[in-house]
Amino acid sequence: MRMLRFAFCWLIVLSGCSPENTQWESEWLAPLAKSRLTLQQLTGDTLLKANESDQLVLRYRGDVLDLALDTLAKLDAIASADTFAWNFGQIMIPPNVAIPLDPIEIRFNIPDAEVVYALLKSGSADITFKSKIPRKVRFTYSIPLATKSGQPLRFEDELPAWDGGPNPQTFTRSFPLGGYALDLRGQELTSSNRIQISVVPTIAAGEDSLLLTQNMELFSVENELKDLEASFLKGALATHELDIQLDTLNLDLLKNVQAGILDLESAQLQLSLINTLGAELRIRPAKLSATNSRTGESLNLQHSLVGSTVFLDRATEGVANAVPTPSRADWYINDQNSNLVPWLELLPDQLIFDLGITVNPLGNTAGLQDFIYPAYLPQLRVDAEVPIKFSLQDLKLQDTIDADLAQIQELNHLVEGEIRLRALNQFPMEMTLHLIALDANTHILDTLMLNQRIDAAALNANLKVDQPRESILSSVLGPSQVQALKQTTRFLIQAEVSTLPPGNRLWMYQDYGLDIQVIVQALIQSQAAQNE
Amino acid sequence: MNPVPIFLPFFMFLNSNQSPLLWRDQYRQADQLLSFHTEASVQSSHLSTDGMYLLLQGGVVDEALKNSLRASGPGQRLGGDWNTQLRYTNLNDSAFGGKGWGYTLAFSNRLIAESRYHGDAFNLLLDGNAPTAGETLQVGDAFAQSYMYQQVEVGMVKSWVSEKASASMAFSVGFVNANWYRGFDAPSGTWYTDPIGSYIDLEAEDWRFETSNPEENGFFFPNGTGVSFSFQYEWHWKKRHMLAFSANDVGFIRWSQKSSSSNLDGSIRWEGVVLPNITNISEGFFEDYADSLQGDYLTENPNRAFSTALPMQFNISYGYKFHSLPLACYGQIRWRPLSPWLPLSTLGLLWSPEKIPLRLAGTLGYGGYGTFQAGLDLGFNFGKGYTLQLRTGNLEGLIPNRFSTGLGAGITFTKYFVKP
Repeated sequence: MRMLRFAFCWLIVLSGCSPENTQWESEWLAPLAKSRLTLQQLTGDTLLKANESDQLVLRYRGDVLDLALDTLAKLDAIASADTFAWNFGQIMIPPNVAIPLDPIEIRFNIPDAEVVYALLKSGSADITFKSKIPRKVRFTYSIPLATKSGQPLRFEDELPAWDGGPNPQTFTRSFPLGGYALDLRGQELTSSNRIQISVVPTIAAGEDSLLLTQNMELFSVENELKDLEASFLKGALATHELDIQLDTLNLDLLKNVQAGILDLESAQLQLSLINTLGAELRIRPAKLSATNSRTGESLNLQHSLVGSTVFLDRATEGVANAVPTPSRADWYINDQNSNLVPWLELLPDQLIFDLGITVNPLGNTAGLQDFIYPAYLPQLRVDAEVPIKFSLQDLKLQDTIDADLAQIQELNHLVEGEIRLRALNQFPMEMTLHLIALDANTHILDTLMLNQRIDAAALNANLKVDQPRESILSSVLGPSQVQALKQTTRFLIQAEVSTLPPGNRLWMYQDYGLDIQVIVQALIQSQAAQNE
Repeated sequence: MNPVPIFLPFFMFLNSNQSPLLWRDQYRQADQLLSFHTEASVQSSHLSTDGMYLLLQGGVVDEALKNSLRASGPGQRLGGDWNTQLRYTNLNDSAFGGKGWGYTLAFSNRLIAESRYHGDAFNLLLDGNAPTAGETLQVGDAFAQSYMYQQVEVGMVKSWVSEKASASMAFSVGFVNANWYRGFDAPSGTWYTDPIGSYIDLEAEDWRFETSNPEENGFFFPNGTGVSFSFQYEWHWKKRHMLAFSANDVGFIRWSQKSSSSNLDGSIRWEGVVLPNITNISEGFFEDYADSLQGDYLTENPNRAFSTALPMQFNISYGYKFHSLPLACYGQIRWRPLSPWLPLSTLGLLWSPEKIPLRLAGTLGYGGYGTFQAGLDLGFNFGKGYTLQLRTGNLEGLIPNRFSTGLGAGITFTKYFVKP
């Protein structure tokens, strides 16, 4: 039998094929990934700036409220379809003589405002003529109060004679309206939100005279003014409460902070309300509340502004519809005149603004002189400056990372191994890490790393770190851990961070960072595929 | 009586490892022959036959076997070939005037895979890099290639016979149709793994990878063409001495424009994938990173034709036939330049009784892809001019073991035509 087996082997050798792959165990050691973690990355590159001493300062400047006034800029013209008929007795109209007809009007749907003047930034007009005049007719279409560079909007075109059949003679014209100024006071110049249109048909030269009879249908005009957007509006704004769309600000940056104590040195905040409207504003900051949803704690900002009512004057109209000169009110909030520091130390992940703003609280006192520049709407501006000088005590961070390891076929070759985390820490903070493997149902499969510590870097006499400190964290992957890894769909990472020495508020410097390198030592089942 | 075609054995197996004297006396009357021959061998300077069986058959390499497979030092070899040939020879054709001239035609298929490497490189693949972290490993002075081709040969043979001596000469030219090629050449290189694994340094000096058209490379597919030339001369004197020289498969293959090559040159330090921002890894980052790495270190030259040498081989042999005994002995040196092949020196003893249709030869050798090797050639003749030959150049490796480093076996079936 033994010889038969060898004979069989030789057949295999000669045929070059074999029933299975050759496998052996080999142990590999390699760095997988590395990265540098900085405070700038955690907070967004633009938020942290270095001062002249390379110390980090958080500076935030942003417009936090989106006042919903820009809808006013989108002039909603109501599409119209007007039919013209001869409403008088019989009359003979010779060639080159206009048929006298009344003008028509287009209305605009503009809530909370009586607009008498609009400067258009964009938009277009689609005009369709349908003629039942049995003569060749020249139409003159004009909007006398829509002007551009002093010239009213006007065009002429001709339609051939209607043959009396079921379909009228038709043409459609489109033209852009960007740059046109609209006088929206209507035919009598005493109204608002409307504009007059004139359509004049004339029997073309060389045609026979036309006998008009009572109720004779002549033609129809369909007006559609589309996508109108104004760069300036004037009229009367109604007294109304503004819809403040962002009254809750979620701070994703801090959502991973579970618990712990943050001790800040100082902070200051400037709130500025900038009124660019040609109307007065009344502001009532009822509450500025910070909430830590993980602990359930909330704290209202205590400052003289909160609970007060502020009246803000109207802006001054820009020359030739240029940029308006706003009015503004500023409030300075710091650790001297408020509880801003403990308000921030709460580590809030939600800021709630309870802010009421009334437009034109005194009503239409300006006589149709209110104005809006849609590109320059009122803003509530926040200028925050927080020196990154603090102490942390057992700040608990928690996050999950999606990693569907079941999809990685190569993991099937892993027999056992070790994951090493090599850290070069330049922060004066020690960090204790836990790494937990979770399955698809967020059940814990195994704890891969428990209470492993990245040591804090040492401080010099100036309380600054000169040299990073190296720590190597290790997680041994035995058979059970390897099995767990093969089912892992996400990792739960928990860290407890404390500055050292405890209780000392320390500056964070621009060059601080944590260099992390993931190293794997793995005993794997190597495989040489046959016939390759 | 027809003169004895004493060059016959050599000429029959230009590419064979067969004993040159085995059949010399068998068919002195033959003037035509048709033979089919196939032979495969795998040899190594260090890889035991236990390991080879596992590589060829599949299976699990246990720790004890791993210990026996490790290599040390430069110039380690692992290679094998599989040659198959169908040949017709007319030794004295009347069309050439009947003055000892003849001709030969052959069709062959050759599959070759061979490599030379430092023991450190083999051990790195076998054990991984963890056991040698902190040591500088030599991974250069490495060469590997594998290829397959078919060859059609046409040649002439000539023999001279006198009372005291005889000689024979043969030469042939061949057309080569090559199917596929994969090659790797690393003149110099080192590998270093940091003891804690924080980096791996690879120093690669002018590493070259070459491959023929990867899209279509089946049997007979023409991805390369070439020519070959073979020559041999054999001299016998005093009916006891024989001296022979041959040069086989001197030629080249030109691989088509669909071939490609790439170069790796420089110092590479691997510290892991560099994540610019660990808090925000974009989708597709790792794929882009792998592409950029390849672009950083590898210079690719697609659609570039290149040439490779055929596995040319030079042989020189001397044989002596004992007086009044059915025994002959011989020595042979074979050399394959341009190949990771150590010159193969062989000593053989042939037993060739007059009255029994059986021939037996034993050989001892050193070199080739392997080291020491013992061979056995066994032949039977039967019927009217039929012979069957079985041989192995590695008798010691027929049963898998930890000390032998070669496997090889061949079979030849020949029909001889004797003039009436």
